[in-house]
Amino acid sequence: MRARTPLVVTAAGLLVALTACSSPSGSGSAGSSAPGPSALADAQGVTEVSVWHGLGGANGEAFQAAVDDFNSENEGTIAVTATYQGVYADLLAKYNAAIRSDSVPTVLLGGDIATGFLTDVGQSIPAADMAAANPDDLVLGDLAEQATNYYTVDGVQQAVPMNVSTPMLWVNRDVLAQAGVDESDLTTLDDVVAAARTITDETGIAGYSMQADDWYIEQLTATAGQDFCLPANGRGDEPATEITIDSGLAKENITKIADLYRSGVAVDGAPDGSAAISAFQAGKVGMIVMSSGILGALKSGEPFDYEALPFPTSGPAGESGPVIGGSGLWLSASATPAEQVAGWKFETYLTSPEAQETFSHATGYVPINTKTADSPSQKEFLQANPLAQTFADQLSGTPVVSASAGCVSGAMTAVKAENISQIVAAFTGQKTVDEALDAAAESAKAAFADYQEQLAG
Amino acid sequence: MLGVSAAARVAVVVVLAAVVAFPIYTSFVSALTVNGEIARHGLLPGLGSLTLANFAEVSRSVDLVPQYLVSIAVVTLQTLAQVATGALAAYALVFPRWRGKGLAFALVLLTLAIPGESIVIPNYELVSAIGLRDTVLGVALPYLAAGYPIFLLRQAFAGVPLEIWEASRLDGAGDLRSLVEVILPACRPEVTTAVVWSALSAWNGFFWPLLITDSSSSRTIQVGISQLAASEASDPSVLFAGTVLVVLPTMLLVVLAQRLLVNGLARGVLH
Repeated sequence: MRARTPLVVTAAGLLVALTACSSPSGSGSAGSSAPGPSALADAQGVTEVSVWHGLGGANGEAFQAAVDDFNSENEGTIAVTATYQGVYADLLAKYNAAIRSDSVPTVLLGGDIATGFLTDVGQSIPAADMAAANPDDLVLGDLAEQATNYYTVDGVQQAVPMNVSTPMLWVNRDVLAQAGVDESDLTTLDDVVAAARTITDETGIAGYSMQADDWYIEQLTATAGQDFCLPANGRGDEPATEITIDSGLAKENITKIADLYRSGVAVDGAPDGSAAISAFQAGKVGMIVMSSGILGALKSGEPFDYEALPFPTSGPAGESGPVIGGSGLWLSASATPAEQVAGWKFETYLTSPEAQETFSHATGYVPINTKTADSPSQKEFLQANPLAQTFADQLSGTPVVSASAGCVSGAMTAVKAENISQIVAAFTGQKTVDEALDAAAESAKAAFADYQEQLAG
Repeated sequence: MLGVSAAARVAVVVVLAAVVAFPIYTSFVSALTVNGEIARHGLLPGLGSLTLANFAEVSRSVDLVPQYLVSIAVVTLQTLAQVATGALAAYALVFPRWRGKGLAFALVLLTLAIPGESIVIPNYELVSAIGLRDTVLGVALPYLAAGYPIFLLRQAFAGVPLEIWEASRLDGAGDLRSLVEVILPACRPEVTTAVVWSALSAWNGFFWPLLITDSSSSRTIQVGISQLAASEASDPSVLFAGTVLVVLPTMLLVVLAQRLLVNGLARGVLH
């Protein structure tokens, strides 16, 4: 375990280096060779589908339960074997190695930030092509647009979102009451910053905490209505060449949060979120910004009065909103046509209203099939679990715009790693915010350029 | 004066021990309590708040028994092979006379300078090509020989007087017998160190076992335990419970080997 971090970082670097070696084949955004239903109908015996994923803990158990359900429904025709392959970064490093030995799985459940890379290596059939060739299966239009928006590159939906999370502002109600802060006043980032200071002034308890992860910096940028990378968040004809966190509202937002850390109002801004979760559960901090996915961990601790509020915004309504988290399903272009159709049936099942309902109840993920909301049992569940309703409302209420789509680039893994170290330096006061953000922007530029060079080479 | 320096020495040892023991202690306490317990009640939780629920959760998420067995198999295979190849190579590098001995040793040293990550992909392709992916042998194969044990044992053997080796040869012992019955017993502390080093590095391997195994039942426990860290949000206490399960065997190994090590040192070179 101890040698883990450097290995993961190296793996991430390796991943970028490997792109140069893999030749795009089978994919492409137009001109589909996607197989139709007959490919599976004509197949003899049981069609095997291998699935790799990065869902650990309770999320992994819920995923395996979905796999088991699918297998029992399709006994005798399709058999899915799902294997956990490490956290997103490890999973991707492993996928890379598999590309080189032609042993990629039929379906990869890849982390969101890998979208650019997975599109560039061209090992997958675009979801849009499979949906067109199999009209009786998954209808992409049934999925939440906020999620499909993320997995759409060059106008073509590449992958199918499976588990979608959304960042929330979690508040400890007892601490808020003690400080005289009204939770209905916490809608903008300025409200939250002011409330954090009030909490510390009135109670002596830390007001705010945020995991020093790049995902939250992306949120502070997207909720300001600002593209995280330019041009056009990497989603137009031109690839991303720079990040924008060193300018505009994003910079102002990061500066405000850094000030909270430096003045002692905020605590535990470590890259690992465990410290923030533990502090929140122990009532040592009034508000934390965290994924909806922590609900399971909060439930398993000692009970206390907490609430999830929408992520605070700072940009104009209608142009700003949080970026989704989670992962998407990528279907192998090198699998046999029968395996591809079987894999697509599995993706259809996983994103069905019923499977999404069950999966979301067991995890903190938000159902991405819009038809889930029509189910009577789902309505009942939401009434009994208002937090799940808040998550769903935030996702459906997010405007589908460039800023909330998030940045897509194969260099994101490298950019993210560097951003994290600069953010930690800014939060701890090792560097001024200006210095840290300038350094982050410089390294991002180099990472984007390196990636493009390797892709071209 | 002597009293003061002894007290200072004890103080330094106590501080160092505390630095080493503190994270282990907090891991154990966190593993045995619900989330946030330490943050709420400090480092000494009441007996009533202790729970095994986190360990139960670990055993639900991870195939503990098969993965422990795989880890034990990998550790055994890797350690025996590394110490055997290390001892044979070190023997050849110290005792017999042959041309190119210096160059061979330099090549061994050179392997220490190659970062492990840079050879992971070629290893993956080779092991996959010979059909050993997803097997215990595949996990151990690239590590059946390692530069460090060779270096360590070579230095140890070089400290054994040449006359002892010559005497054993004159008495009619062959190379293998000289190595096993004369040289190795004379270097017991270093051999123990090599065993501990090899075993720990085999036990702690993460990236390679993850890469080369595909199914849960052929994974090592280190890879299995990593499944407890959910990609977006994890349950810290359950993570600590997993960490404790992985750390316990290494702690036992070090404690047991420590006694051998001290014994070897105390008994002197020859016995």
